[in-house]
Amino acid sequence: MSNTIIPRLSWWQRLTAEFTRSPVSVMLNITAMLVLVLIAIPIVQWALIDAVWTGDSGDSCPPGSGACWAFIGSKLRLILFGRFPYDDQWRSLVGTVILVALVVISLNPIFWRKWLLPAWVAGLLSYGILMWGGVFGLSYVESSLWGGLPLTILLTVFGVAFGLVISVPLALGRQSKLPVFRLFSIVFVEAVRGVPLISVLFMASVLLPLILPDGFTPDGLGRVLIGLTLFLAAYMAEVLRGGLQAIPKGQYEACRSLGIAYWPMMLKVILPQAFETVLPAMVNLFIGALKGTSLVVIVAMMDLLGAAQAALADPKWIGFYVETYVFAGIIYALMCGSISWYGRQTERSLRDMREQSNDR
Amino acid sequence: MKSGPTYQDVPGGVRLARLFAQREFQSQALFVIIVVVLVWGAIQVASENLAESSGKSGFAFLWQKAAFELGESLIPYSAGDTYFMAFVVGVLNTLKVAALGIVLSTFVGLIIALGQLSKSVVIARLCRGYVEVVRNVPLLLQLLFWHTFLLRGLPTVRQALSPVEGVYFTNRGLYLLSPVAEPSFWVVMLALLGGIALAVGLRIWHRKTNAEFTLWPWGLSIAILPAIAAIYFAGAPISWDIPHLSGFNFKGGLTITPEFTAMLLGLSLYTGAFNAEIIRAGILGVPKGQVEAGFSLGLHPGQVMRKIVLPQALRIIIPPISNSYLNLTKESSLGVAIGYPEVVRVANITLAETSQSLECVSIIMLIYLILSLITSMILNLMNARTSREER
Amino acid sequence: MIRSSIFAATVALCMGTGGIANAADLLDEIQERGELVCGTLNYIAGVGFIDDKGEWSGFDVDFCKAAGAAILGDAKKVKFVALTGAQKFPALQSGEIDILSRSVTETISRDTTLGFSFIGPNHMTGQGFMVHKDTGVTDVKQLDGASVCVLAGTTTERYLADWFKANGMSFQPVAAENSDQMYSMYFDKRCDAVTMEPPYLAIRRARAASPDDHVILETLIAKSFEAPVIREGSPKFFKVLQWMHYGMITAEELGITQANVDEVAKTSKDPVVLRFLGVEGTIGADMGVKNDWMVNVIKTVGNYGEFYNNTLGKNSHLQVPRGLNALWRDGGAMVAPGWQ
Repeated sequence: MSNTIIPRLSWWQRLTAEFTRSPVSVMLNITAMLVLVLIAIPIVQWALIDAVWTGDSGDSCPPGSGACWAFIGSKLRLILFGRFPYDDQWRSLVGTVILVALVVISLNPIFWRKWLLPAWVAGLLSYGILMWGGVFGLSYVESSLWGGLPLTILLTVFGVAFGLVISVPLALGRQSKLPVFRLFSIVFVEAVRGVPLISVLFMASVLLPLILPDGFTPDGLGRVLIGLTLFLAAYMAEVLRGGLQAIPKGQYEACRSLGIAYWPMMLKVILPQAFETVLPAMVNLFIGALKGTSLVVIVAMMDLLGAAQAALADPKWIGFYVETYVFAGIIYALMCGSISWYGRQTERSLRDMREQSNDR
Repeated sequence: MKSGPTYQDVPGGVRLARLFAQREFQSQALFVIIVVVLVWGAIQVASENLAESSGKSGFAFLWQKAAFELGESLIPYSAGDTYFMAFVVGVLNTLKVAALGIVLSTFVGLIIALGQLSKSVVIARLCRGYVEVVRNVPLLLQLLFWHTFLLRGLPTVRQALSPVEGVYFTNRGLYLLSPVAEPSFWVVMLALLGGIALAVGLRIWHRKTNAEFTLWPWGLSIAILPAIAAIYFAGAPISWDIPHLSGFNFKGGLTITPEFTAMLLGLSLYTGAFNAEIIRAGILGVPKGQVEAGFSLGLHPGQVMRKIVLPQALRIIIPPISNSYLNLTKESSLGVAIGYPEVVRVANITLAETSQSLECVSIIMLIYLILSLITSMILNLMNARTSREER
Repeated sequence: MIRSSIFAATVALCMGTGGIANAADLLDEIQERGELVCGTLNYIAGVGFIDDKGEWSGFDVDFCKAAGAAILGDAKKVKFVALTGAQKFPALQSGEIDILSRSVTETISRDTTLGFSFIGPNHMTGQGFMVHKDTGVTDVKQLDGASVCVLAGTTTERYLADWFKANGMSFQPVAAENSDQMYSMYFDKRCDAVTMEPPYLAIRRARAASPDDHVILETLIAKSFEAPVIREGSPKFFKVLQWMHYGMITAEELGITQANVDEVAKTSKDPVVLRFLGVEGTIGADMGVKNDWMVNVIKTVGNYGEFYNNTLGKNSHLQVPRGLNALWRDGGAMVAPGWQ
């Protein structure tokens, strides 16, 4: 079972071996190495050797010097936390750490236990208190000031969470025998998947206030979150449908013969299995959502990318675009990379779990 | 909870009465009512909000004059044309970047996929690293990076970099010489067509009579000789429009703006990373027994590749890659962030000018829905063709 | 049970919205709500800006603070909403914001077809160009064939196209989504000229790496009178804001400043001043605000001169001269009808 990975290159290796005799292969390796070195030297030179690490204005990075990390250093908190009140940024940090911890735990089926729900409730409560404040002597911070990395993570986590909730009825609706639900699900899912995220965000930010009665209109953050949620829900419903189809018919029949009704059957038997099957695809969607949140810049929100752009507007430091984009890029790449690593980890532990239970 | 008897079980006369009593019917009817009421409510609120500010609505604004210029266009357009024309320009620009992006991202994907499967560990690692990095950084960030890179990395117009005569790299775009049809162009074309017709005739005659001579030298000369004669008598069919610096900018030739280049680079490199994974999975998905069987039948490696590996790999590749192409088309909407005049950008400006937000957002959605439908139709056709090759 | 209550709620929601159509004047609504919502921009210091600590400031922002002081008696009861160029009008139309104070240029088409009412104008300027000195351009007429950076979806974009057309000249538009992007493209020489109102051009030139390499051309191709905007249909709200604007000018005429307003109210014998500050008469109460509303306004942002100088003018880091925005008696164009 675990050694399926080894033979997967072999036919290809056989084919390339037919094409390339060993001297050619050696040449190839050497050329590739050379190219790598040729690319790496100027990058290392720019990013490390010639880089400027300290300074408090653009003057400390004269033209011709390498990367100006001093700029990132002096703007670090603006880029990471946006316009969250300076002295209270620890709240935003702690809240986000709690949120991330909850997600990390929930992504792993090992932790799908009874205590998870109360843990979420407690976590969300403390998250809300930390972010909004207004109680326990914490000053009130309105949501329009939330920004930077915490906003990116907030949009991703809640977009995915609410999206998941909505995707379940959508996926079930698409498989339903009742034509109204089926039609609605198909139209919704296909329409949303057919348009770009940016147009959905645009609709949420421009049209929602127009079509909702006064007083019911959510603020900027809420609107973006609604748009993101609906968008993700459509994709998740499609992934979940795949998982539902993979479940053998016998399961349904067994439930029916045991006299289990539709909803208990779905919630207790079918959906948990479906979610387990589609976990890798869901992890990919999670990564897509994280990257997708960067588009909120276009509707005047200040997420990580937006805050990075705001940092660029400081007249004391002009023109350190490459440093800023590289820094933001590294943060995104690290986050996405660790999510996919964690996803693979989870998959493996799931497989082991299943094998153990099969052995028993 | 037992569900009531189903629709089909009931005899005809009682059907309607029973229908209304069914849980299924009730829940569906209720759902329809809620949706209708919500939509109706939304329309009411929107019309009230708009009436309150007496804003105009409807699509009549499409025929009004648009007061903005668009940086680049495949068809003649200038400020003073209608908003409708502006949208056409936007759609064409979207299609342009999407079409080229699809081709380029496939190449990128193929190269990276082959690189990942290469026996050379260095190349394989390099390509793997490319995929891991590029896939995990938001496309918007990459587009902004490439745009800034092109603007700051390339010289200004006055210090244009010119590797060969007639090609100029500047931060305002890449200027290339472009062919221009001369009056004799059509004469030469006609002569060429005539020549080809003659050659085809010759081939048919050759087939029929089984004449004893090699066909291709004769056919080729018959095909191109009239054209050469036409060029000799009527003059060169095309001339080159060479860009030259005049005033502020290069005039003439073909201009490729940095916005377009940044879009194309960003979209192709980003989607290329995804395509690489798809193509790799496709190649690895071919069972190795097939290849071994091919070799044992005495086929060349080339034949194995062409006749055994590729057709099967394509069947695995096409469905996911068509999805990836659709994504690329949708993601071209990010051009709005760097000023590439694609359709979302046109809608954005139009919205700011006319403030007809409902209409502009629905136009964007409609256009992308149509594009998605057309693309998936084409790809379904292609998919059907490749799957039919399997017996 | 649950179903029927959902349905009832839905219906109630829709019924409830029916009432909004014949809503009262926005002035009453704002006072009832106790909060004024102001749409503005958050990235240009001196105009509309949130600093690292979340503090809003600038010319457009201060107008809303003054309006908050006039209507609610407290500038802190103003909520600011940052809007992009494309969002600004839909936000106003939908009722999401009460005032749009975002350097909006007043034009006939915006005034008559969008269903808006403009207040003021409170900032008078024009549309000009800044060019790279090494292009040798000294006059706008020499810009034929140039690449011009322009902010997408603004009146500058419209005027630019109109002006080149009227003069039989051509140009290459390079449109940007926001002004930071526009200026960085200009400084990278993606375009030869950038078009904007000269005060803003001056702000950017002052910040440039070498300001002397850039010339702001003298000729203006269009006038640009910027004004706060509200939705039509709230005459009381409109009157309060319009007269608040006039009041700030009148205060400058009368020599009433942020520093001396309390003093003047106590000691002045001038009936005009006393009426103006609400010590005598009921001008304020008749309009639906407090009688001493102008005192609150002046305490918050000062008279028009202070308001301008503290944000854009000589007391700010931007140092934009007043020009047309000086009082009429000083050769400017800022006028206010009499306070009788």
